[in-house]
Amino acid sequence: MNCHQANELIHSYLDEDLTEHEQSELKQHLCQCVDCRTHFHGLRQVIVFLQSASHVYAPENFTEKVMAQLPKDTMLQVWKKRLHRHPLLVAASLFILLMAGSSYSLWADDKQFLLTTPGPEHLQINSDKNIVIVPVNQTVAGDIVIRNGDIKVEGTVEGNVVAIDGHIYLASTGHITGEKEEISQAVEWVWYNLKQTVMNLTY
Amino acid sequence: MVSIEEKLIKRIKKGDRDAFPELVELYKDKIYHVAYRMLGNAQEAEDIAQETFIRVYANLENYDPNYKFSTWIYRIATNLCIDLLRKRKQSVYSLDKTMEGAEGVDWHDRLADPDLGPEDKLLEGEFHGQVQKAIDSLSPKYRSIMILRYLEDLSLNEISEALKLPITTIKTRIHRGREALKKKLNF
Ligand SMILES: [Zn+2]
Repeated sequence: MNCHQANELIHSYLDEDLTEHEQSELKQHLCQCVDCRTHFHGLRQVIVFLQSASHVYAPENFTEKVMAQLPKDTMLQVWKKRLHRHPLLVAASLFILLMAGSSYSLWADDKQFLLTTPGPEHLQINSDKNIVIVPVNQTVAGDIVIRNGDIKVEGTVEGNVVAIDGHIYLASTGHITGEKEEISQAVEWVWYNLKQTVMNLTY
Repeated sequence: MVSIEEKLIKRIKKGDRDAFPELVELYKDKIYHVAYRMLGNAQEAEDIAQETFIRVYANLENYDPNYKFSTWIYRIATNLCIDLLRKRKQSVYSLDKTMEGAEGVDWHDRLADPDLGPEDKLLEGEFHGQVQKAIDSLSPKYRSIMILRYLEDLSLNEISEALKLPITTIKTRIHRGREALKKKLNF
């Protein structure tokens, strides 16, 4: 075996790609040849060196940032998904939507800022900008529903937060124990009301 | 046996909103690490890692479950990194052109040493800095393979699947990569 052949075998050895026979041949050559031995040790060192690299971890809030960038579902997708999860509910709400145009007109006329909460004393309400803030270190026990406005949660809400035609901003200090849902379509509003009705009936 | 990834992908396709963030949690460190090593820069690594997951979400319908999910996501990430490295090279080139003759300032050196972000500073001076320097010395096609093999511990078969290259090509590049690093590091 010459040194060139030995070098080929060294690499195959490092890739765990050698038969036992080839291994013993290589061993023999390495015992006799200082150059190849040195070369072999050098390559091994490269591997150990690379493997010593410290692991780097994804920065904080990485997942939240990804989720914020995902395309919002189109209405059709939303309905498809819901049909999958709650076939009866969707069928029923579509039925109501088709039968009663009244819910829609109710929706269309109703543009004023509206807030439902069990603990208004815990909230900062800015009715000029239509924004409600749950301040840091404040806890609201129960559901908050806001319409035609935004809500910023810096403290804790022990319940659901629903924004109809508005946004929910969850600060890094904020926490919502229940569901967090933004509703921006008349159809969804019907669906949401229906869900509430059914939930009230079942629980 | 059904893997965690397969279960999560089924749930995502069914419209379960909680499933995708679980998948992100499962892979974020691996993908960020690869991007960080490929690019040598925390900010770009975060952007590319974010983009990787957005592409995964958008292309989930095209994912072939006959292949491992990990190799698929590694492919998306390394391709994005290589694209960025290519763009970066082009922009350095065009800057060179426009700044030619600018009072003897060595723009090449400036461009090669951009301001370090807080995380880069933290890692600078660690032994790690040496590893990154060595990795940076490789061209992208060797860089991705060496990272996947020795930092992410993928097998040659997995790398071949991830990069859609024949295993013989992977072996040749690993051999050359090792030789190049040995020379660079004086080992
Ligand atoms: Zn020899």
